[in-house]
Amino acid sequence: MLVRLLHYGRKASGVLTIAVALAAWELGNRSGMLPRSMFPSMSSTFEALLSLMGQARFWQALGLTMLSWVIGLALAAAVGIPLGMLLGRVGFLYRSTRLLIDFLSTIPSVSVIPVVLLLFGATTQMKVVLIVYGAVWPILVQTAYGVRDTDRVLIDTARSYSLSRLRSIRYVLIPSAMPYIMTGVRIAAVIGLLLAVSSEVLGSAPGVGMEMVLAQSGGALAPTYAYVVLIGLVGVAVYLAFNELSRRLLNWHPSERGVMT
Amino acid sequence: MRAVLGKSTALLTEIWLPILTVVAWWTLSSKSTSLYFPPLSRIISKLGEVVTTRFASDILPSLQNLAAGLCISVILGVICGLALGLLPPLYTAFQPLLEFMRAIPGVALLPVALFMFGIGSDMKVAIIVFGAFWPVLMNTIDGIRGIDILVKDVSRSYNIRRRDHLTRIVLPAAAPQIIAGIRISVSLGVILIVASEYVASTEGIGYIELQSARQYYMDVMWAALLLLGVLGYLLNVLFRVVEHRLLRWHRGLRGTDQGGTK
Repeated sequence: MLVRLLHYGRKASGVLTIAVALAAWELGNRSGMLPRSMFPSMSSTFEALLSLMGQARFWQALGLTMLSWVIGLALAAAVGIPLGMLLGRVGFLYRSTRLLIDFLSTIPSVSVIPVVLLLFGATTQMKVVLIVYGAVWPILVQTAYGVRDTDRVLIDTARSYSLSRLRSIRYVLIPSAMPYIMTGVRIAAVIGLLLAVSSEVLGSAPGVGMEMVLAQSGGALAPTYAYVVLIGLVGVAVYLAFNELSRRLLNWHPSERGVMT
Repeated sequence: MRAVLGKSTALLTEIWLPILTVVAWWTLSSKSTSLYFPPLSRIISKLGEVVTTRFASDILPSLQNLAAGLCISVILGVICGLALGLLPPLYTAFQPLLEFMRAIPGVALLPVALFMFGIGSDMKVAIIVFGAFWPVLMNTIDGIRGIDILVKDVSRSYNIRRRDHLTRIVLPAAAPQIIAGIRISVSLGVILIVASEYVASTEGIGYIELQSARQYYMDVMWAALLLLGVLGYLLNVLFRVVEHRLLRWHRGLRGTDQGGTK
Protein backbone atom coordinates (compact mmCIF):
# COMPACT_ATOMS: atom_id res chain seq x y z
CA MET A 1 0.00 0.00 0.00
CA LEU A 2 2.68 2.39 1.08
CA VAL A 3 4.86 1.41 -1.86
CA ARG A 4 1.93 2.04 -4.17
CA LEU A 5 1.34 5.43 -2.65
CA LEU A 6 5.01 6.28 -2.94
CA HIS A 7 4.94 5.22 -6.59
CA TYR A 8 2.02 7.53 -7.32
CA GLY A 9 3.69 10.26 -5.33
CA ARG A 10 6.72 10.05 -7.59
CA LYS A 11 4.65 10.20 -10.72
CA ALA A 12 2.70 13.11 -9.33
CA SER A 13 5.85 15.05 -8.48
CA GLY A 14 7.08 14.62 -12.06
CA VAL A 15 3.80 15.80 -13.52
CA LEU A 16 3.71 18.68 -11.06
CA THR A 17 7.18 19.85 -12.08
CA ILE A 18 6.18 19.92 -15.73
CA ALA A 19 3.00 21.81 -14.85
CA VAL A 20 4.97 24.33 -12.80
CA ALA A 21 7.51 24.78 -15.61
CA LEU A 22 4.73 25.40 -18.12
CA ALA A 23 3.02 27.84 -15.76
CA ALA A 24 6.29 29.67 -15.15
CA TRP A 25 6.76 29.94 -18.92
CA GLU A 26 3.30 31.46 -19.32
CA LEU A 27 3.66 33.79 -16.34
CA GLY A 28 7.17 34.84 -17.33
CA ASN A 29 5.84 35.74 -20.71
CA ARG A 30 2.76 37.62 -19.51
CA SER A 31 4.74 39.61 -16.98
CA GLY A 32 7.36 40.45 -19.58
CA MET A 33 10.19 38.72 -17.73
CA LEU A 34 10.84 36.60 -20.77
CA PRO A 35 11.40 38.97 -23.69
CA ARG A 36 8.47 38.63 -26.08
CA SER A 37 10.71 39.03 -29.11
CA MET A 38 12.43 35.76 -28.22
CA PHE A 39 9.78 33.65 -26.52
CA PRO A 40 6.18 33.11 -27.51
CA SER A 41 3.84 32.42 -24.62
CA MET A 42 3.21 28.83 -23.64
CA SER A 43 -0.43 29.01 -24.60
CA SER A 44 0.25 30.44 -28.04
CA THR A 45 2.91 27.77 -28.65
CA PHE A 46 0.48 24.97 -27.91
CA GLU A 47 -2.23 26.73 -29.88
CA ALA A 48 0.18 26.82 -32.80
CA LEU A 49 0.95 23.14 -32.33
CA LEU A 50 -2.76 22.31 -32.35
CA SER A 51 -3.43 24.33 -35.46
CA LEU A 52 -0.43 22.72 -37.16
CA MET A 53 -1.85 19.33 -36.30
CA GLY A 54 -4.96 20.23 -38.25
CA GLN A 55 -2.98 20.68 -41.45
CA ALA A 56 -2.23 17.93 -43.96
CA ARG A 57 1.09 19.58 -44.75
CA PHE A 58 2.27 19.08 -41.19
CA TRP A 59 1.49 15.35 -41.18
CA GLN A 60 3.16 14.98 -44.53
CA ALA A 61 6.32 16.60 -43.19
CA LEU A 62 6.29 14.46 -40.06
CA GLY A 63 5.70 11.37 -42.20
CA LEU A 64 8.69 12.20 -44.40
CA THR A 65 10.94 12.70 -41.38
CA MET A 66 9.90 9.44 -39.76
CA LEU A 67 10.04 7.52 -43.04
CA SER A 68 13.66 8.46 -43.69
CA TRP A 69 14.48 7.65 -40.07
CA VAL A 70 12.88 4.18 -40.23
CA ILE A 71 14.48 3.28 -43.57
CA GLY A 72 17.88 4.61 -42.52
CA LEU A 73 17.82 2.79 -39.20
CA ALA A 74 16.67 -0.48 -40.78
CA LEU A 75 19.42 -0.31 -43.40
CA ALA A 76 22.02 0.54 -40.76
CA ALA A 77 20.94 -2.51 -38.73
CA ALA A 78 20.86 -4.73 -41.80
CA VAL A 79 24.44 -3.72 -42.62
CA GLY A 80 25.81 -3.25 -39.12
CA ILE A 81 24.67 -6.42 -37.35
CA PRO A 82 25.99 -9.04 -39.84
CA LEU A 83 29.18 -7.08 -40.41
CA GLY A 84 29.66 -6.62 -36.69
CA MET A 85 29.24 -10.35 -36.13
CA LEU A 86 31.80 -11.10 -38.80
CA LEU A 87 34.29 -8.67 -37.27
CA GLY A 88 33.58 -10.05 -33.83
CA ARG A 89 34.25 -13.62 -34.90
CA VAL A 90 37.35 -13.04 -37.02
CA GLY A 91 40.03 -11.49 -34.86
CA PHE A 92 42.23 -10.58 -37.78
CA LEU A 93 39.47 -8.58 -39.47
CA TYR A 94 38.57 -6.93 -36.17
CA ARG A 95 42.09 -5.69 -35.57
CA SER A 96 42.61 -4.69 -39.19
CA THR A 97 39.49 -2.56 -39.41
CA ARG A 98 39.67 -1.05 -35.95
CA LEU A 99 41.58 2.12 -36.79
CA LEU A 100 39.58 2.77 -39.93
CA ILE A 101 36.26 2.30 -38.16
CA ASP A 102 37.47 4.45 -35.29
CA PHE A 103 38.35 7.26 -37.65
CA LEU A 104 35.23 7.04 -39.80
CA SER A 105 32.95 6.93 -36.78
CA THR A 106 34.49 9.98 -35.14
CA ILE A 107 34.02 12.18 -38.21
CA PRO A 108 31.17 14.39 -37.02
CA SER A 109 28.29 12.93 -39.03
CA VAL A 110 26.73 16.35 -39.59
CA SER A 111 29.80 17.41 -41.57
CA VAL A 112 28.93 14.84 -44.24
CA ILE A 113 25.77 16.82 -45.07
CA PRO A 114 27.35 19.11 -47.72
CA VAL A 115 28.77 16.06 -49.51
CA VAL A 116 25.56 14.02 -49.61
CA LEU A 117 23.67 17.18 -50.46
CA LEU A 118 25.80 17.65 -53.57
CA LEU A 119 25.59 14.00 -54.56
CA PHE A 120 21.89 13.40 -53.94
CA GLY A 121 20.26 16.82 -53.64
CA ALA A 122 17.76 17.75 -50.93
CA THR A 123 15.89 14.46 -51.10
CA THR A 124 14.74 11.63 -48.86
CA GLN A 125 17.48 9.52 -50.46
CA MET A 126 20.08 12.00 -49.18
CA LYS A 127 18.61 11.78 -45.69
CA VAL A 128 18.65 8.00 -45.74
CA VAL A 129 22.31 7.89 -46.85
CA LEU A 130 23.25 10.32 -44.09
CA ILE A 131 21.32 8.39 -41.44
CA VAL A 132 22.84 5.08 -42.52
CA TYR A 133 26.30 6.62 -42.34
CA GLY A 134 25.77 7.99 -38.85
CA ALA A 135 23.78 5.10 -37.38
CA VAL A 136 25.77 2.15 -38.68
CA TRP A 137 28.81 2.69 -36.44
CA PRO A 138 27.29 2.18 -33.00
CA ILE A 139 25.46 -0.92 -34.23
CA LEU A 140 28.56 -2.33 -35.88
CA VAL A 141 30.89 -1.64 -32.98
CA GLN A 142 28.49 -2.83 -30.29
CA THR A 143 27.69 -6.04 -32.19
CA ALA A 144 31.38 -6.80 -32.60
CA TYR A 145 31.96 -6.15 -28.86
CA GLY A 146 29.04 -8.39 -27.97
CA VAL A 147 30.17 -11.26 -30.14
CA ARG A 148 33.72 -11.01 -28.82
CA ASP A 149 32.35 -11.05 -25.30
CA THR A 150 30.58 -14.38 -25.85
CA ASP A 151 31.49 -16.94 -23.22
CA ARG A 152 34.20 -19.25 -24.62
CA VAL A 153 32.59 -22.21 -22.92
CA LEU A 154 29.36 -21.59 -24.83
CA ILE A 155 31.19 -21.51 -28.15
CA ASP A 156 33.19 -24.62 -27.33
CA THR A 157 30.07 -26.45 -26.19
CA ALA A 158 28.30 -25.56 -29.41
CA ARG A 159 31.28 -26.87 -31.32
CA SER A 160 31.58 -30.11 -29.40
CA TYR A 161 27.91 -30.77 -29.99
CA SER A 162 28.78 -30.07 -33.62
CA LEU A 163 26.10 -27.46 -34.03
CA SER A 164 25.98 -26.20 -37.59
CA ARG A 165 27.38 -22.72 -38.18
CA LEU A 166 23.94 -21.24 -38.75
CA ARG A 167 22.56 -22.80 -35.60
CA SER A 168 25.43 -21.67 -33.44
CA ILE A 169 24.94 -18.14 -34.75
CA ARG A 170 21.22 -18.37 -34.08
CA TYR A 171 21.39 -20.03 -30.66
CA VAL A 172 24.71 -18.88 -29.24
CA LEU A 173 26.13 -15.75 -30.81
CA ILE A 174 22.99 -13.70 -31.36
CA PRO A 175 21.43 -14.28 -27.93
CA SER A 176 24.66 -13.61 -26.10
CA ALA A 177 25.39 -10.46 -28.11
CA MET A 178 21.79 -9.24 -27.88
CA PRO A 179 22.24 -6.76 -24.99
CA TYR A 180 25.11 -5.12 -26.84
CA ILE A 181 23.23 -5.09 -30.13
CA MET A 182 20.23 -3.45 -28.48
CA THR A 183 22.46 -0.81 -26.92
CA GLY A 184 23.92 -0.10 -30.35
CA VAL A 185 20.47 0.08 -31.92
CA ARG A 186 19.22 2.43 -29.20
CA ILE A 187 22.14 4.80 -29.71
CA ALA A 188 21.68 4.53 -33.46
CA ALA A 189 17.99 5.39 -33.16
CA VAL A 190 18.77 8.63 -31.35
CA ILE A 191 21.57 9.53 -33.76
CA GLY A 192 19.28 8.72 -36.67
CA LEU A 193 16.63 11.11 -35.42
CA LEU A 194 19.24 13.81 -34.86
CA LEU A 195 20.51 13.35 -38.40
CA ALA A 196 17.03 13.26 -39.94
CA VAL A 197 16.21 16.61 -38.34
CA SER A 198 19.69 18.00 -39.07
CA SER A 199 19.48 17.18 -42.74
CA GLU A 200 16.17 19.03 -42.87
CA VAL A 201 17.32 22.04 -40.86
CA LEU A 202 20.74 22.34 -42.49
CA GLY A 203 20.16 20.81 -45.90
CA SER A 204 16.55 21.91 -46.50
CA ALA A 205 15.39 18.37 -47.18
CA PRO A 206 11.62 18.12 -46.88
CA GLY A 207 10.37 17.25 -43.38
CA VAL A 208 9.63 18.68 -39.96
CA GLY A 209 13.03 20.38 -39.70
CA MET A 210 12.52 22.30 -42.91
CA GLU A 211 9.04 23.40 -41.84
CA MET A 212 10.61 24.71 -38.65
CA VAL A 213 13.23 26.69 -40.55
CA LEU A 214 10.52 28.11 -42.80
CA ALA A 215 8.56 29.21 -39.74
CA GLN A 216 11.68 30.75 -38.23
CA SER A 217 12.71 32.65 -41.34
CA GLY A 218 9.17 33.96 -41.60
CA GLY A 219 9.54 35.32 -38.09
CA ALA A 220 6.73 33.11 -36.80
CA LEU A 221 7.77 32.59 -33.20
CA ALA A 222 5.01 30.36 -31.88
CA PRO A 223 5.06 27.79 -34.72
CA THR A 224 8.88 27.55 -34.49
CA TYR A 225 8.66 26.69 -30.82
CA ALA A 226 5.74 24.38 -31.52
CA TYR A 227 8.00 22.38 -33.83
CA VAL A 228 10.69 22.22 -31.13
CA VAL A 229 8.12 20.84 -28.67
CA LEU A 230 6.95 18.35 -31.28
CA ILE A 231 10.48 17.15 -32.05
CA GLY A 232 11.11 16.74 -28.33
CA LEU A 233 7.95 14.64 -28.00
CA VAL A 234 9.00 12.50 -30.94
CA GLY A 235 12.41 12.06 -29.31
CA VAL A 236 10.81 10.94 -26.03
CA ALA A 237 8.54 8.53 -27.91
CA VAL A 238 11.52 7.02 -29.73
CA TYR A 239 13.45 6.70 -26.49
CA LEU A 240 10.58 5.04 -24.65
CA ALA A 241 9.76 2.75 -27.56
CA PHE A 242 13.32 1.44 -27.78
CA ASN A 243 13.57 0.97 -24.03
CA GLU A 244 10.40 -1.09 -24.15
CA LEU A 245 11.66 -3.05 -27.14
CA SER A 246 14.94 -3.92 -25.50
CA ARG A 247 13.12 -4.85 -22.29
CA ARG A 248 10.90 -7.25 -24.24
CA LEU A 249 13.76 -8.72 -26.22
CA LEU A 250 15.98 -9.16 -23.20
CA ASN A 251 13.54 -10.26 -20.52
CA TRP A 252 15.13 -13.72 -20.56
CA HIS A 253 18.55 -12.27 -19.98
CA PRO A 254 20.15 -12.83 -16.56
CA SER A 255 20.01 -9.45 -14.95
CA GLU A 256 23.38 -9.82 -13.29
CA ARG A 257 25.04 -9.37 -16.65
CA GLY A 258 23.68 -5.90 -16.35
CA VAL A 259 22.53 -3.27 -18.76
CA MET A 260 25.37 -2.11 -20.96
CA THR A 261 25.22 1.54 -21.64
CA MET B 1 63.06 -11.16 -30.13
CA ARG B 2 59.82 -13.05 -30.37
CA ALA B 3 58.05 -10.35 -28.40
CA VAL B 4 59.31 -7.72 -30.82
CA LEU B 5 58.14 -9.83 -33.73
CA GLY B 6 54.77 -10.31 -32.09
CA LYS B 7 54.42 -6.60 -31.48
CA SER B 8 55.31 -5.67 -35.02
CA THR B 9 52.83 -8.15 -36.51
CA ALA B 10 50.19 -6.75 -34.17
CA LEU B 11 51.00 -3.26 -35.36
CA LEU B 12 50.97 -4.41 -38.97
CA THR B 13 47.51 -5.98 -38.61
CA GLU B 14 46.27 -2.70 -37.20
CA ILE B 15 47.61 -0.44 -39.91
CA TRP B 16 47.71 -2.33 -43.21
CA LEU B 17 44.09 -1.57 -44.06
CA PRO B 18 44.18 2.17 -43.30
CA ILE B 19 47.39 2.48 -45.34
CA LEU B 20 45.92 0.46 -48.19
CA THR B 21 42.81 2.64 -48.12
CA VAL B 22 44.81 5.85 -48.41
CA VAL B 23 47.02 4.40 -51.16
CA ALA B 24 43.98 3.15 -53.07
CA TRP B 25 42.26 6.52 -52.74
CA TRP B 26 45.44 8.30 -53.85
CA THR B 27 46.04 6.15 -56.96
CA LEU B 28 42.41 5.74 -57.99
CA SER B 29 41.74 9.46 -57.72
CA SER B 30 45.07 10.65 -59.17
CA LYS B 31 43.74 10.90 -62.71
CA SER B 32 40.21 11.73 -61.65
CA THR B 33 38.47 14.41 -63.66
CA SER B 34 35.22 13.98 -61.78
CA LEU B 35 33.88 17.23 -60.38
CA TYR B 36 32.89 15.62 -57.10
CA PHE B 37 35.93 13.47 -56.46
CA PRO B 38 39.13 15.42 -57.08
CA PRO B 39 42.56 13.76 -56.72
CA LEU B 40 43.61 13.17 -53.12
CA SER B 41 46.90 14.95 -53.77
CA ARG B 42 44.98 18.15 -54.52
CA ILE B 43 42.80 17.73 -51.43
CA ILE B 44 45.88 17.34 -49.26
CA SER B 45 47.55 20.43 -50.67
CA LYS B 46 44.32 22.39 -50.12
CA LEU B 47 44.23 21.05 -46.58
CA GLY B 48 47.70 22.48 -46.00
CA GLU B 49 46.54 25.77 -47.48
CA VAL B 50 43.44 25.91 -45.28
CA VAL B 51 45.39 25.10 -42.14
CA THR B 52 48.06 27.71 -42.81
CA THR B 53 46.04 30.60 -44.21
CA ARG B 54 42.77 30.26 -42.34
CA PHE B 55 43.93 29.14 -38.93
CA ALA B 56 43.29 32.43 -37.13
CA SER B 57 40.19 33.37 -39.09
CA ASP B 58 38.30 30.07 -39.06
CA ILE B 59 39.92 27.18 -37.23
CA LEU B 60 40.65 29.11 -34.05
CA PRO B 61 37.10 30.48 -33.65
CA SER B 62 35.71 26.95 -34.09
CA LEU B 63 38.00 25.61 -31.41
CA GLN B 64 37.33 28.54 -29.08
CA ASN B 65 33.57 28.19 -29.32
CA LEU B 66 33.86 24.46 -28.85
CA ALA B 67 36.06 24.85 -25.79
CA ALA B 68 33.81 27.51 -24.26
CA GLY B 69 30.68 25.45 -24.89
CA LEU B 70 32.19 22.30 -23.46
CA CYS B 71 33.56 24.04 -20.36
CA ILE B 72 30.17 25.55 -19.56
CA SER B 73 28.45 22.22 -20.20
CA VAL B 74 30.79 20.33 -17.90
CA ILE B 75 30.60 22.86 -15.06
CA LEU B 76 26.82 23.21 -15.29
CA GLY B 77 26.33 19.50 -15.78
CA VAL B 78 28.40 18.48 -12.78
CA ILE B 79 26.88 21.10 -10.48
CA CYS B 80 23.29 20.32 -11.44
CA GLY B 81 24.11 16.61 -11.43
CA LEU B 82 25.45 16.87 -7.90
CA ALA B 83 22.29 18.59 -6.70
CA LEU B 84 19.96 16.14 -8.40
CA GLY B 85 22.04 13.10 -7.56
CA LEU B 86 22.32 13.94 -3.86
CA LEU B 87 18.64 14.83 -3.47
CA PRO B 88 16.61 11.89 -4.81
CA PRO B 89 13.19 13.55 -4.37
CA LEU B 90 14.39 16.46 -6.48
CA TYR B 91 15.53 14.02 -9.13
CA THR B 92 12.24 12.15 -9.27
CA ALA B 93 10.42 15.45 -9.58
CA PHE B 94 12.60 16.75 -12.39
CA GLN B 95 13.16 13.52 -14.27
CA PRO B 96 10.24 13.70 -16.75
CA LEU B 97 11.02 17.33 -17.60
CA LEU B 98 14.70 16.51 -18.08
CA GLU B 99 13.93 13.48 -20.25
CA PHE B 100 11.83 15.69 -22.48
CA MET B 101 14.41 18.46 -22.78
CA ARG B 102 17.13 15.93 -23.43
CA ALA B 103 15.16 14.34 -26.23
CA ILE B 104 15.30 17.54 -28.29
CA PRO B 105 18.23 17.16 -30.68
CA GLY B 106 20.53 20.19 -30.39
CA VAL B 107 20.30 20.95 -34.08
CA ALA B 108 16.53 21.32 -33.81
CA LEU B 109 17.16 24.30 -31.55
CA LEU B 110 19.18 26.20 -34.13
CA PRO B 111 16.17 28.15 -35.40
CA VAL B 112 15.17 29.01 -31.83
CA ALA B 113 18.74 29.96 -30.93
CA LEU B 114 18.70 32.36 -33.86
CA PHE B 115 15.68 34.08 -32.32
CA MET B 116 17.38 34.27 -28.94
CA PHE B 117 20.99 35.05 -29.68
CA GLY B 118 21.02 36.22 -33.27
CA ILE B 119 24.09 35.39 -35.32
CA GLY B 120 27.47 35.02 -33.68
CA SER B 121 29.57 33.16 -31.16
CA ASP B 122 26.94 33.37 -28.40
CA MET B 123 24.49 31.42 -30.48
CA LYS B 124 27.07 28.74 -31.26
CA VAL B 125 28.19 28.37 -27.66
CA ALA B 126 24.57 28.21 -26.51
CA ILE B 127 23.77 25.45 -29.00
CA ILE B 128 26.77 23.43 -27.82
CA VAL B 129 25.81 23.89 -24.19
CA PHE B 130 22.25 22.81 -24.85
CA GLY B 131 23.37 19.65 -26.61
CA ALA B 132 26.46 18.71 -24.60
CA PHE B 133 25.05 19.45 -21.15
CA TRP B 134 22.79 16.37 -20.96
CA PRO B 135 25.30 13.53 -21.09
CA VAL B 136 27.36 15.17 -18.31
CA LEU B 137 24.28 15.81 -16.20
CA MET B 138 22.75 12.36 -16.64
CA ASN B 139 26.02 10.54 -16.07
CA THR B 140 26.82 12.60 -12.99
CA ILE B 141 23.41 11.73 -11.54
CA ASP B 142 23.84 8.05 -12.40
CA GLY B 143 27.35 8.02 -11.00
CA ILE B 144 26.24 9.50 -7.69
CA ARG B 145 23.17 7.30 -7.40
CA GLY B 146 25.34 4.29 -8.08
CA ILE B 147 27.61 4.88 -5.07
CA ASP B 148 27.57 2.00 -2.63
CA ILE B 149 25.17 2.73 0.24
CA LEU B 150 27.80 1.32 2.59
CA VAL B 151 30.28 3.97 1.55
CA LYS B 152 27.75 6.71 2.24
CA ASP B 153 26.88 5.23 5.62
CA VAL B 154 30.50 4.92 6.62
CA SER B 155 31.09 8.52 5.63
CA ARG B 156 28.12 9.58 7.72
CA SER B 157 28.99 7.54 10.77
CA TYR B 158 32.52 8.90 10.75
CA ASN B 159 30.98 12.34 10.71
CA ILE B 160 32.97 13.40 7.70
CA ARG B 161 32.51 17.06 6.91
CA ARG B 162 30.09 17.85 4.13
CA ARG B 163 32.75 19.38 1.97
CA ASP B 164 35.12 16.45 2.35
CA HIS B 165 32.25 14.08 1.76
CA LEU B 166 31.63 15.81 -1.57
CA THR B 167 35.17 16.25 -2.80
CA ARG B 168 36.74 13.07 -1.43
CA ILE B 169 33.96 10.52 -1.60
CA VAL B 170 31.12 11.52 -3.90
CA LEU B 171 33.02 13.12 -6.76
CA PRO B 172 35.79 10.50 -7.04
CA ALA B 173 33.25 7.68 -6.86
CA ALA B 174 31.22 9.25 -9.63
CA ALA B 175 34.27 10.27 -11.69
CA PRO B 176 34.32 7.30 -14.10
CA GLN B 177 30.70 7.94 -15.04
CA ILE B 178 31.18 11.70 -15.26
CA ILE B 179 34.16 11.27 -17.55
CA ALA B 180 32.26 8.83 -19.73
CA GLY B 181 29.58 11.50 -20.01
CA ILE B 182 32.09 14.21 -20.92
CA ARG B 183 33.42 11.97 -23.66
CA ILE B 184 29.98 11.75 -25.23
CA SER B 185 29.67 15.52 -24.81
CA VAL B 186 32.89 16.12 -26.70
CA SER B 187 31.70 14.26 -29.78
CA LEU B 188 28.28 15.94 -29.56
CA GLY B 189 30.03 19.29 -29.21
CA VAL B 190 31.97 18.76 -32.43
CA ILE B 191 28.76 17.88 -34.27
CA LEU B 192 27.00 20.96 -32.92
CA ILE B 193 29.80 23.40 -33.62
CA VAL B 194 29.81 22.26 -37.25
CA ALA B 195 26.02 22.46 -37.45
CA SER B 196 25.98 25.96 -35.99
CA GLU B 197 28.59 27.08 -38.50
CA TYR B 198 26.40 25.94 -41.37
CA VAL B 199 23.68 28.34 -40.33
CA ALA B 200 24.11 32.06 -40.80
CA SER B 201 27.80 32.09 -40.01
CA THR B 202 30.80 33.76 -41.58
CA GLU B 203 33.60 31.84 -39.95
CA GLY B 204 34.57 28.38 -38.84
CA ILE B 205 35.60 25.08 -40.38
CA GLY B 206 31.98 24.15 -41.05
CA TYR B 207 31.53 27.48 -42.81
CA ILE B 208 34.54 26.78 -45.06
CA GLU B 209 33.12 23.39 -45.92
CA LEU B 210 29.60 24.56 -46.78
CA GLN B 211 30.79 27.66 -48.58
CA SER B 212 33.21 25.74 -50.81
CA ALA B 213 30.54 23.12 -51.49
CA ARG B 214 28.18 25.86 -52.64
CA GLN B 215 30.83 27.30 -54.94
CA TYR B 216 31.82 23.86 -56.21
CA TYR B 217 35.37 24.08 -54.85
CA MET B 218 35.28 20.37 -54.22
CA ASP B 219 38.92 20.07 -53.19
CA VAL B 220 38.47 22.66 -50.44
CA MET B 221 35.27 21.00 -49.30
CA TRP B 222 36.96 17.60 -48.98
CA ALA B 223 39.89 19.26 -47.24
CA ALA B 224 37.57 20.84 -44.67
CA LEU B 225 35.75 17.54 -44.18
CA LEU B 226 39.07 15.77 -43.70
CA LEU B 227 40.12 18.44 -41.23
CA LEU B 228 36.92 17.93 -39.24
CA GLY B 229 37.47 14.19 -39.28
CA VAL B 230 41.03 14.53 -38.03
CA LEU B 231 39.91 17.04 -35.40
CA GLY B 232 37.14 14.74 -34.17
CA TYR B 233 39.51 11.80 -34.08
CA LEU B 234 42.28 13.67 -32.28
CA LEU B 235 39.88 14.99 -29.64
CA ASN B 236 38.64 11.47 -29.09
CA VAL B 237 42.15 10.05 -28.76
CA LEU B 238 43.21 12.90 -26.49
CA PHE B 239 40.23 12.29 -24.30
CA ARG B 240 40.91 8.58 -24.12
CA VAL B 241 44.44 9.35 -22.88
CA VAL B 242 43.13 11.78 -20.26
CA GLU B 243 40.52 9.24 -19.18
CA HIS B 244 43.15 6.55 -18.90
CA ARG B 245 45.37 8.76 -16.79
CA LEU B 246 42.67 10.10 -14.51
CA LEU B 247 41.08 6.76 -13.87
CA ARG B 248 44.23 4.76 -13.27
CA TRP B 249 43.35 4.34 -9.59
CA HIS B 250 39.90 3.16 -10.52
CA ARG B 251 41.11 0.33 -12.73
CA GLY B 252 43.61 -0.70 -10.09
CA LEU B 253 40.82 -0.79 -7.55
CA ARG B 254 38.55 -2.91 -9.66
CA GLY B 255 41.37 -5.03 -10.99
CA THR B 256 39.77 -4.97 -14.40
CA ASP B 257 39.98 -2.86 -17.48
CA GLN B 258 36.63 -1.16 -17.89
CA GLY B 259 37.36 0.08 -21.35
CA GLY B 260 35.67 -2.88 -23.03
CA THR B 261 37.48 -5.48 -25.07
CA LYS B 262 40.82 -4.23 -26.18
